[in-house]
Amino acid sequence: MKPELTATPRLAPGCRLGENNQQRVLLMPERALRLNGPSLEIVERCDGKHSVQQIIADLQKIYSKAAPGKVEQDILGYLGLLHDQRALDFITANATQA
Amino acid sequence: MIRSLRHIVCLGALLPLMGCAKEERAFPKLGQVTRIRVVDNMSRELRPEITDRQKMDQIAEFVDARRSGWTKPWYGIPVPSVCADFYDGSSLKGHFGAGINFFETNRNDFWSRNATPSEVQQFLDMVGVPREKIKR
Repeated sequence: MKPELTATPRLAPGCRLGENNQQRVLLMPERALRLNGPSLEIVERCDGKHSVQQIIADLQKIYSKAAPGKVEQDILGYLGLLHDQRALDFITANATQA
Repeated sequence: MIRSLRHIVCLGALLPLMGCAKEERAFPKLGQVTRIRVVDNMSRELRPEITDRQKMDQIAEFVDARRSGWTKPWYGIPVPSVCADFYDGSSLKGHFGAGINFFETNRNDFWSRNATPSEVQQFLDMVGVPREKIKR
């Protein structure tokens, strides 16, 4: 699914950021992803406080050499994917999109 | 489940690191190995240490045959369920691990590579770990 820009993503129950071999890891039920660079920047902001729009704006600043539209597309794709993998929930004004 | 992780891997192939070029790495041969620890992703031993020379050579040959094509997917490097830690005496030379459809290596840094089911099975057979230990 494509997340709404005003939604605030947060890690789903059972998922958390941890460490493995001194690297940040997104721990999900039965699997894990070692994160660094943009993936870590994105997931660290999935705290239920940053909106999708704020995450995009932050990453566009950090990766200012990349085309802003491409950064936005990549982030929306990544957040949507993590949601499809049940690693993220999106909190909207009205309800949680689980 | 398999399809879902493949989905992640496929997406990574489509999304080039916020517009940056994809970095690819090849590694030198492992060189001398005197023992191999087989562990899970929490560093728990899955079987007794491998010290049999013939077995170690076979595993090292498998790893050395996969020295190129390593990348760092920007979406994250999948963490393997089964890892072989290579030692020369007390010195850790690196690790090589397998997940459902990928390998990961650590040679001072972590890298990822796609793997076929038969490659994963071959690795598991060599290190003597049952398929059920591979989660996703």
